[in-house]
Amino acid sequence: MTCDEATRLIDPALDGGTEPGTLVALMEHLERCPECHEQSETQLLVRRVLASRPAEMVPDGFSERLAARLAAEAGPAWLDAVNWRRWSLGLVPAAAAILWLALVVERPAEGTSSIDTASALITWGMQEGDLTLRLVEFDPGLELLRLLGDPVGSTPTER
Amino acid sequence: MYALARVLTGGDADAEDLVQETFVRAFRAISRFRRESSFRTWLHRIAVNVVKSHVARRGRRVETSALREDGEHVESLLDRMPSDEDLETAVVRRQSIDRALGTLSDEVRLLITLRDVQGLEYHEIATVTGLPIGTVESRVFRARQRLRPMLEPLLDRGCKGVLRRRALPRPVSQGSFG
Repeated sequence: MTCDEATRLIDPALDGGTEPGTLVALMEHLERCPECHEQSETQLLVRRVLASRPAEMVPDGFSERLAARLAAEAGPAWLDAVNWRRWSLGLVPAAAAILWLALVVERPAEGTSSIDTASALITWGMQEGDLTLRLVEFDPGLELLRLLGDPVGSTPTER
Repeated sequence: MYALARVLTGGDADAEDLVQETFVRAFRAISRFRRESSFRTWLHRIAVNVVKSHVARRGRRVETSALREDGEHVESLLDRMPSDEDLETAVVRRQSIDRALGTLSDEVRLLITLRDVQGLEYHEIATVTGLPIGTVESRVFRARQRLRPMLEPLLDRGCKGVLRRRALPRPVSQGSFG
């Protein structure tokens, strides 16, 4: 191993990211070469001292001042209220429920009461704590309640 | 971040503002963070740009003198440190290190601060600064050579003995050297 090669390997070796065989070769070189040995000491010594630099304590109130700046950056609360993206997202569950109701009311499954079916599914959604209705692709002729596990005890519809 | 700003600006009293500006810019740009680098690297890049802009506006090379802990700051530190002696030791040590770092050029001080104080990897520093990895490695290597005489007194005598015997980690199959 040459001195140039050894010099390039010192830092990675101190990081612990050197193959064992390479590390052995490097150590053998350092044992024979006083200059490179001195270099490795220099690199290690300075790394240690700099890493031990006592950290400053941030001034009192730093976090509060930063939070205030970020809050000012985000804008006033009323802006959120008129931000159509924010409040429209909140309407998704309601929109899904309305769409589902429209589908069910318009084309009730044979043998089932569309109103009863709608009530059962909405009730099921709230019992599970899930206000987002899952719209399942279904044929109006299929028993939707059975697909959803018949949570309210409704009997399967007859075709 | 605060330590980085203090070192790079030579203890500038604006360091707090610079750190806040860093986080504000990160907040504004977070939607553009593409994960091409780590978040740490991305944040450091912003911090370095903020400091460089500050130094450029000041229109001078940053001279690092013994860091001045303003009176108000020291008082709050006293409230939080275990003892006056601990505070004094920490401040003196930090000032000694920063005085040594101040002898380096702005760019080299940035590189070695990112590497040895902040702990960034070479590839991260290359991303932050836009320099080739080899350039970063060689400049940090030479900077350490220059800093050794100034920093050697800060190393514990006990550690120095260990340093001579164990400059490198021992491989499993070999004994120690030196």
